[in-house]
Amino acid sequence: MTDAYVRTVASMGTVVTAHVVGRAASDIERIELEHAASSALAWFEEVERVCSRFDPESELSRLSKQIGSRMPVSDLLFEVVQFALAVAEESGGAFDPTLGLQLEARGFDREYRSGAVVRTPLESDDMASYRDVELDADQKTIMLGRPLLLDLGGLAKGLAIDMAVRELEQRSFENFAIDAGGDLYLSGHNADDEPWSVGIRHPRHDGELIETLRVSNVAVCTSGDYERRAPGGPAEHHIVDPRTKASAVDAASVTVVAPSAMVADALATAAFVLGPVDALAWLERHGVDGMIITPSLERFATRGLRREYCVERGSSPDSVV
Amino acid sequence: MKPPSDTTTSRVAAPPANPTPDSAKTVAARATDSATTTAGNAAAAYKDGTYSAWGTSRHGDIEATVLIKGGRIEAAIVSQCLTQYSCSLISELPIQVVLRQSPEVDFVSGATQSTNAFYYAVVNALKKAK
Repeated sequence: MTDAYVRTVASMGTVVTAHVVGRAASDIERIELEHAASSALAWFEEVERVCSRFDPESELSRLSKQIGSRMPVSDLLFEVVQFALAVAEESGGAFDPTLGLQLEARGFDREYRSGAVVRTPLESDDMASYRDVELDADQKTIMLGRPLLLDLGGLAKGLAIDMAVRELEQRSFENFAIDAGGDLYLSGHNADDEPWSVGIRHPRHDGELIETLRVSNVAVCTSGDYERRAPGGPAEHHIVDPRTKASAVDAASVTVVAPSAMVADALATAAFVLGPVDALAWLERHGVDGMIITPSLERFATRGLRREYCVERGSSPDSVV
Repeated sequence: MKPPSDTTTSRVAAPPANPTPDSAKTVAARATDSATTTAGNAAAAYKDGTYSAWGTSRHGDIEATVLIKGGRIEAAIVSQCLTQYSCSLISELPIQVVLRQSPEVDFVSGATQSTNAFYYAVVNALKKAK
């Protein structure tokens, strides 16, 4: 039996845990391990400081107050916005990072630490979309062409996971896992020397799993309609179809397995909005695997998911592309 | 890009010894940072006894107490609840933990925010039982 070193912090509205497999043989190794784990988790604070729409002092909030001018931004903010716009473009607007004001209006307006209601002093403009965000890659500037509030929620969490992974890899750790509220990266093997087992939460029965995957060196992210219900009513949740501005209804949950957590998170959100049939083809076209559960609990999965990751044939998804 | 210094995550915060409902919001405002060395997920035989630990979520903190008898989880309950929602919302959760005898997988993707606090409280309590 191998030991695992576990470190937990509360950040970005969730509980974040780093599990590093292995036993520290000496005090020096133990200090190295502790330092690596806390440096990895420190990225969550760093990314939140830049990307939170709940913190009026974050770089993102300050950018949102400057409509119509080219604002120089940090590399980190530039990278994540650039990626978000690329996914928006690729998904034909099924994913759109400019819906912060709409989310606020629907009641997703509380800072998770203090519970304080956050209202951005901008007039909501229903015409705003990702097309109103202009990037200049040479100057590293971002310009918002209309009053809008960027919401990088899941992407920012994914980026923080990816940075934490890079931090541990650079320190030559091979077998570890980062869990940020169910968004995961699993590296190498678990303490039993096996690929990590990842249960996919059942979207309608809390505490039950609908599938189990065996994975190594990939991120696994799941977007569900059950998480973060809007105060507006039981049919309202946090995944908005940017094209209709209503909650997306064709999926109950989408799981994506991808090489990076930021990619997995963004593609899961886009796939949720696209609906099962379009989403499967779209995910495969982008070289990632995934599974979509509909509200009537039909399952759709990419071939690769069933072939590479599903544990039991009997419990394999019912439908494939 | 450099990661922030190590000190940003070293804010150790244990919930108060005698918490009151009024403290719910301030408890939710603190970051927890626990570092433990624990056995891996190989055949978990727990030491008999009663173990309590805290878990944190965006809605507040929950303390879980687990009772281990004969190496198995006999019961798991919410022993203290400092959440912003009614604790009755999570009253069904403790039974599930007993039924599952702790997580059968390494991780769950798509875990809910509201159950996180209880889940981590139980996981932390079980670490003490190893």
